[in-house]
Amino acid sequence: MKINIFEKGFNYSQDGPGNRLVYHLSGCNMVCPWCSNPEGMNKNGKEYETDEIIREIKSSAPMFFDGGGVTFTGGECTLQSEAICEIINSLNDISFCIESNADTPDFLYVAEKCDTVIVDYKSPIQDRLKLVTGGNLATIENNLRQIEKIKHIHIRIPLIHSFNDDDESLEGFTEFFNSLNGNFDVEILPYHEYGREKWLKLGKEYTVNDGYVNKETIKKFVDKFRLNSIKVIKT
Amino acid sequence: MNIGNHEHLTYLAKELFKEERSLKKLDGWFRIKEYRRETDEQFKDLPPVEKAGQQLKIIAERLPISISKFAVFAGTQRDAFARSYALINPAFRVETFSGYCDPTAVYDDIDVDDEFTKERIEKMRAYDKETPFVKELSKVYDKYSEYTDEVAFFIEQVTGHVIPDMRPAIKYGVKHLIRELDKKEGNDKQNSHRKGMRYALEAVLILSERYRNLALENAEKTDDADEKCRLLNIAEALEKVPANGAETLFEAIQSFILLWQIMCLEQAPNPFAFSVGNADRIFEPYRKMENLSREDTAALLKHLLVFYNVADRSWAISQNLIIGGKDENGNDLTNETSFALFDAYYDMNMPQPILSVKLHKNTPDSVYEAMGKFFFTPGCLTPSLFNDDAMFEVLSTHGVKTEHLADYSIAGCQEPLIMGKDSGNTTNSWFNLGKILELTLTGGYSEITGKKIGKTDDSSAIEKLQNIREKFYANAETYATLMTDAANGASKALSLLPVPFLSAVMGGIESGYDARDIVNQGTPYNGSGCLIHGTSVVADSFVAIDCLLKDRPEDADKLIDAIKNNFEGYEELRDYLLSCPKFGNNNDIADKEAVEVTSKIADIVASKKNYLGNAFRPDFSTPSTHLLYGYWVGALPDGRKSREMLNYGIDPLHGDANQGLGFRTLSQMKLPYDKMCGGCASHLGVDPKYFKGETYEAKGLEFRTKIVAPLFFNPLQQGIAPFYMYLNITTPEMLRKVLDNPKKYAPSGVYIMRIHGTFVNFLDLSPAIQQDIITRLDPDSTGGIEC
Repeated sequence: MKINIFEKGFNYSQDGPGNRLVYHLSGCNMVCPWCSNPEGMNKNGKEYETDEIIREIKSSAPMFFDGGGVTFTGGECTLQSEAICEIINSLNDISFCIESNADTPDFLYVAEKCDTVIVDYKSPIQDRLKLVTGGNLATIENNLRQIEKIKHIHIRIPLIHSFNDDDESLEGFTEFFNSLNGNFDVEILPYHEYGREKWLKLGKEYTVNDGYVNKETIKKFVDKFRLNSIKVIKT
Repeated sequence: MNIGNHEHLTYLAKELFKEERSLKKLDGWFRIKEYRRETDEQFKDLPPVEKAGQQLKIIAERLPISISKFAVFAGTQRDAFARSYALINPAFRVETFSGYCDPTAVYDDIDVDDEFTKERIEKMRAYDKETPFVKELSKVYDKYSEYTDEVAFFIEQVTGHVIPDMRPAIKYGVKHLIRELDKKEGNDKQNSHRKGMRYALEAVLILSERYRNLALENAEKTDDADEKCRLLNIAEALEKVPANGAETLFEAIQSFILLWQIMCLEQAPNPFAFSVGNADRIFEPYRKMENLSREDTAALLKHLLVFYNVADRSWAISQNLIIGGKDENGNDLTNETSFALFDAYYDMNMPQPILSVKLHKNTPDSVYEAMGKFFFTPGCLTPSLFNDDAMFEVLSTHGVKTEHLADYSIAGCQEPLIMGKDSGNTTNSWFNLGKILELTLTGGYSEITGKKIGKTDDSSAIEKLQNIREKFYANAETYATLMTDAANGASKALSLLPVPFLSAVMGGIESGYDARDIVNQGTPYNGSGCLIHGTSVVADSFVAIDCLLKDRPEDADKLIDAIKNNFEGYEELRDYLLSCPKFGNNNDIADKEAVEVTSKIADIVASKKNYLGNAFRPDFSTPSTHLLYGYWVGALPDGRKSREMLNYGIDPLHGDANQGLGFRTLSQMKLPYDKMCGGCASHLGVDPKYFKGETYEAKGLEFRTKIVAPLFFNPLQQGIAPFYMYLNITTPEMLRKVLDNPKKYAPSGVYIMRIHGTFVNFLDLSPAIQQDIITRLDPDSTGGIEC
């Protein structure tokens, strides 16, 4: 089976616990204007045989220290669910993690096989989410509810000024988190522009003009979550 | 006697360093040469070792001495060194560097003035040229110049580069050693050599007596009460040491300094890379006797560290001091003096002496915490790191007795030797695999000069490529034989300059033989080193040839033409070759090839015998010579262009490993470290952003988790783990900023960087070496991925 990857390498604790071999899979169902890996939006990475990746993971075991393992991210990794699952099923002793937007039909199918699930939850407001990223809130929230029943999830909010840092969003996030069973934690990722140059290199316009959020806003979000007994962490 | 609190002692150490760095002239070595010449006739009938001992006494008697007003201890190394070391010499150029093969070239490194006139210098040079040593050595170089001119291999006579064991001399005193010598009985040769050692030890007593008298004279003259106190303190200590055993830390350091001074004077000029060994273990017993605080200990040690810096560019290069480690039972040997040394190093941040740290899997957190500030302060010196767990295994496998393992230490850059017992001739020979591959592919013709310097091979291109390994290893065997013959010739020439003082602190009292003797082994361990260059460019070349033969065999002739033309007009072919698998990316094919090249070459080198019949020790390190020797290597099938650098040590060639630190580490873990008994070198340039800790201590622990533990103490390591690495935690951009605006980024004028086994003031380096450091940070080979 083939798997399409646009970047790979090791990273420590940013994409799951410990030192991890991170595969960025090509292709995405969203078009987030702040995306730091816009080269992964189309399926034009490098094609590998899954056997090749399995061999690479096996040989990389000495580098999975501090509880590390393998992370699939993207793009949106669950768009290549069959390939991911074949790899996961072939390697019993490896810790797997996915980083996903949870907006795909196969999200649950992949997530339940993983040790760690990280989800980007971008907005609790359907219209805004659809307009800016193309995402579908109902699918995301339904997936989160389902997976939370069987696995702890790490939810990340990319906090972007003029998109999701307003009071309405804060209320929406809080309300949704309160409706879950508590088997999750939340991390706020303040806006950054690591991707700006990549967009320009790809000949695409970078449309976020003023995405930075101030410290007070971050604190407001954290305080509100904590007030509602929502666990906030920083990795 | 109270010579001041630790703050005052620190102030004095810093002033002393400033004073030393203002010194632009080094001429003591020249005087020493003249003293020898003047007394050659007087001692001409003495056996060589006795003569050497007597001449050392003359040097100790005549050499002008002084004591700085900032000094806490008496003694200096500056009379043993010339302003010679190429890499920190602004006049250095890769294009014109030809090694240190002419022992009379040093006469170019003294400034002509009214005292040292041209006539005086030339007279001495002419005399030196006629000495048996220089004549013998010249014969060796002349005989092999065909190969050394374009560096198929290189050889040198090894001065310095050992680790003396001064502990008995400090503990019991020099007089005790003399008594020990007098008790020994042996054959005529041993008796004569021991007599030479006795004279050499007496030279220390002469020197210490002169310093004592000078201290008293200066104390008499000065109106400065503090200075008088310090001078009287020196005089008081010298009344006791080094003649007798030390009982305080002050006495121990004072004793050590004079012993070291004599050892260097004996081998002047330029006995590079004499190394201290575990300084924390040498001095801790004396600190403990007084229960001296860490601050007070550090303050005294700062003066010891200043002693290792000679003149304006710290010319006494590669003197290595080591901290930490374990004993043969696995017990950690870190002590209070280890941490005082860390404090002293950090506060002084000087270009010498170079610092190394021994680690093992039970090294306490406090050592990593203490190292954090070194690695994460821009422009600060950093220790190189050794893995005791692996090193003990390597050394045991190669015959080191269990009870001696804890005393291994590092001479110079990375060469492991047993303190006081091992004459390793570490830099005796230098093997250039890149050049040998070039000559194999061209049928013996240099791509650089067109000269015929190798074995003729008229076979077709396809035949050469199909049999490249067989042909290459056969050539390597031939050149290794020539190289080791030449290296042994250099060692035999050097034996004409016996070293009785060094011998006395290297096991000679017991053996009765000079450490340089070529018939009887003077030290318990002996070997000769061979520094092996170009493993990964050769391995990658083999892989690229295989790929070419598989994918496009019709291009075999084209490949040979392409490398002869430095790929000009063959850009497409070069792109193809560059795209073939390369070592350093956890690619099975490329990594296996690198393992095989390393292993086979190590076996070839280790099969060669030195002048005493002991094995040559394979050392996979290239102390800037990857640059110097690369300059003499033509284009190669891995896509590397003519005259470009070779890979550094055991590392991938810069730019070839582009998958980040994890994959690079996996590749390097596969290499056969058990065969690298002469040492190896590896450099990591890591972006400081990789570490998130908020304090130096936290970053130090993070450094252990992310860098040290996976490489050195990985539970999934197959075979012996890597045992050496050094790092520069910075970015190319940062170093460019330092060069563009040194006043802003290095206001003190000192910005320390690791260059290989040694660290140097980045701003002192010649431009070519500065660029080499920037290039080899090679961020793609060590980066994580951004997400």
